[in-house]
Amino acid sequence: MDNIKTKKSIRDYLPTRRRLIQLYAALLHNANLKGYLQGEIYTGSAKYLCVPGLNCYSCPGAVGACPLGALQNALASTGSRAPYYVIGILLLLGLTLGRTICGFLCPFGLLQELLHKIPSPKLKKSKATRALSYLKYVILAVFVVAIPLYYAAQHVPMPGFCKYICPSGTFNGAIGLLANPANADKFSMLNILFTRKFVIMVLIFGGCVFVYRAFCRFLCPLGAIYGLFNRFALVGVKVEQSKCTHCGLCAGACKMDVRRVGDHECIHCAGCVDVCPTQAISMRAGKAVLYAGKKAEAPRQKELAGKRAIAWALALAVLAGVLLYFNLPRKEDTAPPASATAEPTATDAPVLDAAAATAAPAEPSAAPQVPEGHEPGMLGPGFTAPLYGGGSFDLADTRGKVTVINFWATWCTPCVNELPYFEQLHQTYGEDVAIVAIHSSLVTDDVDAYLALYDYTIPFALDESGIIESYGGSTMLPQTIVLDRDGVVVYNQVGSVTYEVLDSLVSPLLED
Amino acid sequence: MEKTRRLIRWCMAVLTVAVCLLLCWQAIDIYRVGNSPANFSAPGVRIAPVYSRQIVAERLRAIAPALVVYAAAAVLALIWQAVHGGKERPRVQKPVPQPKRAPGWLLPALYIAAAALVALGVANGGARDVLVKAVNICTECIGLG
Repeated sequence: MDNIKTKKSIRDYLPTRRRLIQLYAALLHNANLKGYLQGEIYTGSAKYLCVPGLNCYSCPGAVGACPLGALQNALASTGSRAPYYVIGILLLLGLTLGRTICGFLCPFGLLQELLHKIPSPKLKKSKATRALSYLKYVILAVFVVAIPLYYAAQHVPMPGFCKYICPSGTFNGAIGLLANPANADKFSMLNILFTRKFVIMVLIFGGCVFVYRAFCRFLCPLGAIYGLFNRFALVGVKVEQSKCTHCGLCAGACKMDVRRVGDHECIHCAGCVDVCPTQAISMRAGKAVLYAGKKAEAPRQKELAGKRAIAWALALAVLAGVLLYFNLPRKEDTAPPASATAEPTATDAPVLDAAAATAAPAEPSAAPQVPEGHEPGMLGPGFTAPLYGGGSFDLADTRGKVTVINFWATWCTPCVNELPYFEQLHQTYGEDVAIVAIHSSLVTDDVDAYLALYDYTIPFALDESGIIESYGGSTMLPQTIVLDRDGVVVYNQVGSVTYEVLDSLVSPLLED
Repeated sequence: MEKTRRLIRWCMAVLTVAVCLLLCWQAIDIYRVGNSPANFSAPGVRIAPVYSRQIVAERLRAIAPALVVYAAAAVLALIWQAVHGGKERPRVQKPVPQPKRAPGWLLPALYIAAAALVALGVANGGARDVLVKAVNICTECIGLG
């Protein structure tokens, strides 16, 4: 029998202090609550900073950058600049908190613990789970370091862990965005990548029901990084050697694969503090004792209760301030969006695929009367953009030709992967089709060097004036727009395209 | 009591596995149907997208009873466990001796190195790179495609 029956008090049904801190941290990580309602991500300057826990920065609620995503992208950009910033931030977080982040602050850790609450037979730790716990170091080496570096050498930004594994990205990012009706058109992007990641996410969630913190223990590369600092971390569970009798109760009570308190697997949850019969274990921040166990604190109960009440009051005040800061409407929120230049089309349904787009092209003869806008059937907003290599691209000059506009960026993996298709389209149709690839205005210092590596003949422009916004885009790349000979939008989609899709869009328009 | 506890745990285990398989099957089946030859008008050109809000809603409606049953069962099992469950008996694990303490100068030295790296990163534009990636949705990174 694994359980001991004990008399329960009302306190046993209340969430523990650690659980409250976890909930508090999860809310702080995702304080942009209005993002969930609007189906958009936060794009403010708080995202200069990396949050400590695993929390996808494409989540509508996220107010900071995910350290793991930032690290992969920094490694993927090693060709242009060394990843000092992210490594420095990870070092600061690791030295200060170590894996206390996993135990107290990580929103994904909280989710795993809540799933583990579902009653089921639980897999106990063993030699096998201990061996499996080293898998996360392999994932760190392969998916977080090797894959981004390998692709960086080929000038393709590739965050391997985000793309192939990260369940936080699938759950918080993809599902978080897709759950909002405002993003209904984004479903058309989903294919094998989403299916694979969804299955991985479901398996991880299912695994967490049976195995305590299955992802954290076996797969999480962020936990692997923080684990390296556990020995030095300022905050964490510490053992007073003079009091320790080496009874082994602490390591035995721990659900993680620890071999001793505070080793690289320890998440400093402080669960062992109350187990220790000699009160040798305490939660500390440097020399200050944060928690010394129920027995040790019993005489000072009243004094500590007062201090904790003040701490919680301060924490709640901070949370209220943060929530107000991120959720109160701002001037830019109330201003009309740049892209809303005309009334929407009669149908709310966006064009979901290439065939549908070509099946119902806008009436060319109606072009002079059609309103300007980014929706299919509207007249594409005019623009002029400076070209790399000199000159400028004016949309007005392409009137009478089928025009393909592609918004891209060197730091966007699917964007650089699909550029050859636009080049192939140019090679096939020549001057009959006007093509322009417009680079995002964010981080443009490596565009010249990137273009010098390839023999692309299509014109490349720079989005200096927010052209992407006039075409309904904002934070998602790539985006492709096809205009007919009269400049009317017949296709406007975020997401990757293939040559076949481009060809099926363009060829019927040329026959008109 | 122990018999009931065990029964509830195994029932929930079976239900958990079944729900996970059901969700995975739905996703795989949507992918299979969307990529079947019948959904292509020409090589590489689909008649209808693989996923759409309508398709997902239909699939979710189909499995909604199973999900509701699972959620209800989980809540009831949690309540039963909270009322009748005991605390886990602590086990004893052969301890491994604590390592030697790190030298006192190491932590301050590492902090200085970390601060220097952050400063260098801000200077070389690394901080802006982080912002750019965080405020733009990398569709591929979150599994959208």
